[in-house]
Amino acid sequence: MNTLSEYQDFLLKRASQNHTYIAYSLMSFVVKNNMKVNNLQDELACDSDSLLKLALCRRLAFGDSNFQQGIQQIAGYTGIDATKLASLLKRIAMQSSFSQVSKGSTLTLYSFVAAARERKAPTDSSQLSDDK
Amino acid sequence: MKATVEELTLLRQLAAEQTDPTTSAILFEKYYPVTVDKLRKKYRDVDEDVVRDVVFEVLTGLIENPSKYDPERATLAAYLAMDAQGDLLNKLKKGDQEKKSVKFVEDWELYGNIIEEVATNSDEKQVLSLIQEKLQEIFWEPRDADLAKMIIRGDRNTADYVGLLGLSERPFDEQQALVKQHKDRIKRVLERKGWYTFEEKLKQRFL
Repeated sequence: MNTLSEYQDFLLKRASQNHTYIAYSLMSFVVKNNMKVNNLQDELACDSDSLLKLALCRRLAFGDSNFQQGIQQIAGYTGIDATKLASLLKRIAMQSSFSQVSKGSTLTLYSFVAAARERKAPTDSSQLSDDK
Repeated sequence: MKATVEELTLLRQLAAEQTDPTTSAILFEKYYPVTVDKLRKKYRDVDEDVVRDVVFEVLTGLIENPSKYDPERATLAAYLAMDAQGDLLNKLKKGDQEKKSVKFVEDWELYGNIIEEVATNSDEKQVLSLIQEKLQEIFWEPRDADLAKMIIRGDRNTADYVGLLGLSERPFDEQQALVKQHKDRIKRVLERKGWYTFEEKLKQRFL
């Protein structure tokens, strides 16, 4: 498990400031949970190149009908295991929904409902089998 | 058509309603290092992070608005290099203008609070004393006065602000946001308390 180079670290942090990229969700998650970037690599069992590739992908709308397809596309491109990726992104989305709901926003209430619905829905493949 | 087939494919994917989420990362992978290298070779004296930042913005601009690029006019690689160069030059020019507008206090960092000892001529001494007086009048909090000095000096290094504000333990994005928040606040106070009028008067009197 290699660490991020200075160049990769710059790009990851820079992308984390823009809602367009998955880096935004990843780094918010890291900060909220007092984690380090290395912990993400551990969780996804990936190297720094794959993590940066993931970080620069467009953010997926959790609960969106294309979510699963997006996970597959990202997994194919980055080489990250689709199950691990889906599990992490779902946790990030759930955590984000809960923290936003606690702020009482109507918009985020929708996200919460969508996240809860997604959690209850039977998984459409064995990909999410370890997401218990 | 100047764009290559591969470039056109990427553009179509970017513009598609159901965008493949990996397209942005592929663009970065293919064009970010190349474009940064091109600019670094041409502008060796420019801070590497400034170049990286400009190229990041250009690529993000394209990802968010693919219609910015006209495939008939240039290859995507050439367009990105050109756009990034233009933005870099604008950024540098803007930095120069800011520096010029505060040229007369450029040595503030050296002089700081020991004006009496280091000012080399009476005008300079007077200018720095007047600035110090004005800042003390505007800011009663020493840290705010120091922040104001950095802004007036045209200090653009975020790390310096992070140090002064004691934010070094915070995550990068939080540091950036908090520094911006503090800078905006100080600028608003400077504006409200007539700093810029004062600065103009100083220039007219001493430059």
